[in-house]
Amino acid sequence: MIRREPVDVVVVGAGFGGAAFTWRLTTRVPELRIVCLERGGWVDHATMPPAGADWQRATLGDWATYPNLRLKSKNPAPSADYPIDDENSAFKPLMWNGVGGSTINWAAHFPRLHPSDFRTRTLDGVGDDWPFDYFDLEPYYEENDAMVGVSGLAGDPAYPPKPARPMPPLPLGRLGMVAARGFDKLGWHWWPVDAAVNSRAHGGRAGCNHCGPCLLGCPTKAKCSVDTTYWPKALAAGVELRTHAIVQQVDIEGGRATGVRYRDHDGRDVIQPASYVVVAGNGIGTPRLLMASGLSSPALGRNLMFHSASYLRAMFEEELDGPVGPVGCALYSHEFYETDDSRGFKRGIHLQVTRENALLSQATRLEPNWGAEAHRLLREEFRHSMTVLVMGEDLPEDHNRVTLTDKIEADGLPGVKLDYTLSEHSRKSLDFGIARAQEVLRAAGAHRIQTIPLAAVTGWHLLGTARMGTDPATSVTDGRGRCHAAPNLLVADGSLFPTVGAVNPGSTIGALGLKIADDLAVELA
Amino acid sequence: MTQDFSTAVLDTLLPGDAVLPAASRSGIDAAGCLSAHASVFQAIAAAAGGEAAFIAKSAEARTELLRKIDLGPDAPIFKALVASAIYDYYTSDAVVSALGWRQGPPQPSGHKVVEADEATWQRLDRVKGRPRLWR
Repeated sequence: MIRREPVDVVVVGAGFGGAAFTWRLTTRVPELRIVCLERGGWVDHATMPPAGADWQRATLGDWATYPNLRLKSKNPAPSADYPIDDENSAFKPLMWNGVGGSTINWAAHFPRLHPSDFRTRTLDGVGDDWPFDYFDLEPYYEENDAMVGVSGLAGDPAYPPKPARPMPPLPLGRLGMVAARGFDKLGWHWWPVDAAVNSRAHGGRAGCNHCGPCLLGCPTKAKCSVDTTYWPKALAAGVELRTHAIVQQVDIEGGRATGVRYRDHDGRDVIQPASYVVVAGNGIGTPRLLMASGLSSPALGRNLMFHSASYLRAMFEEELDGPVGPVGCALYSHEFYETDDSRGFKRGIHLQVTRENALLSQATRLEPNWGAEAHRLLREEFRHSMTVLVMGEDLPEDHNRVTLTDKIEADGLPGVKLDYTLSEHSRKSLDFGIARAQEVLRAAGAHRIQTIPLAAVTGWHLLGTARMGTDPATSVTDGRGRCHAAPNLLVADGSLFPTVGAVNPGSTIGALGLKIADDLAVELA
Repeated sequence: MTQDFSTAVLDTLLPGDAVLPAASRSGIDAAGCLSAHASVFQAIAAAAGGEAAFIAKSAEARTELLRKIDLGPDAPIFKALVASAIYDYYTSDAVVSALGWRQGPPQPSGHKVVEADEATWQRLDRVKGRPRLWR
């Protein structure tokens, strides 16, 4: 066992939460010795699939979004994955394990939560209030936007006023204009998305050239991933990042974390003593590690939330430009985001008009996917389809959870299992959203609509499993991300969310990472 | 297994039409497909009463036979063959071109996406003028 020199802070995980936390803390308290341990490595953007001839196959192999599929790929994936038993989960977990975390292969749709999302118990009698509100987090949203580089348009009445976005919105394209036509006919809200994608050169990174497959990584770096934004600045400030370092355990003695044990890139066991340990391994990796470390906390691993999701794919006679442009980004509607009791459920839905997948992905998912009928369907769809994602607010439920298995996996940690059932409440909200999406697609001119009532492979948002709160019986950390059971053990990722709203969490995870760092800086002052 | 048989199977899976080339004209690696999925080709031949019998069938009869295999006990190996054929077919230059799409990877040239027209932005003013929606 190798014993390294003690450091002030060790951060576990170099994804969005860990990156934002680390940069902010080193900026606020430059004298701290901070080490980040990341189980994966750096990915070379120049060799990412969109720059290669075999790019379409990568979607179903070593660059699949689903780690369980990557693990089966003939080509070794550049993500340091571990198997996840998700047989009993309605949604399949998607992630990337390496420097940058899931920002490497995300769609970079970058909405904020609404103010009401922080107060669901007070306003609507469901879920739990966050320990702080939107306006407490607002300055961190602003700072995160500046670090990431956001394209968008200020003035959306669905949100409190935001300053001018750093860049103009990404082009809507023909697809976006047709969708907007539908919303306008119905008199509904729509707005161009906030995207963590450069619409022009910004922050030393290129402007997007609309190549399309953002989920395969971004060779031009126009799409923000935190390996190109936060990390270079954190490293320049003196943070040490050790890659291929798989943390096996947080050492906890007498209610205090004393450091971590990890397996380094040569397979050696290393002890890294630290005054503070900060875990940012996402809503699955974080509880996995904390449970494996024996952290005593009844809520740990519980209240797993993904965001419930359905898809609608609509066919149009006119030619659309779906397969190009940033895939997650066109426009959204928050017409139905806030609670309306007449709908029969609390909270609301997010309607997101997205761009399309590549040709091979479209051909693969056809039913049937072979024979003359498949050809007919493909011609009807390719360059004539538009997708609407219906996303609902997934409320915290104790029984939706992450647990450990009896098996020790190849990475040295116990296996991990998900149990997640879609609630009746979520089903109601999705069904409501599907009906609204059908209305708007017909208003836009769709001649055929295909509905996928439960979009299983959408589990990007891994949230809630080490939630913030005041009661140690129902929460894992306090409002500053400090574990009730070990106050110098912090969490800085989406696990902290007490509730999740109905929008993508990336923007809030980054803002939260900054806030948790500021809170710690104050404690250290 | 003869090449005529494997071609007949692949062309039934991915037939030609007015726009798209048949699998055998798409540049698909028929020999590689046959070698990687020999067991399902054997199952197809057995179900048809021999390779020649399959070749002699009409397009409709071949499709029907394959549909039965797709739903029967050999479905897993049949689906693996379909997946493999689809991968090769829809990434081939001939098919991509036939669909009016650009060959080659998306980078470095990217694509053009048009900006929204003035009428769309003017209609957004209606949304912008609404009272606040957030609580």
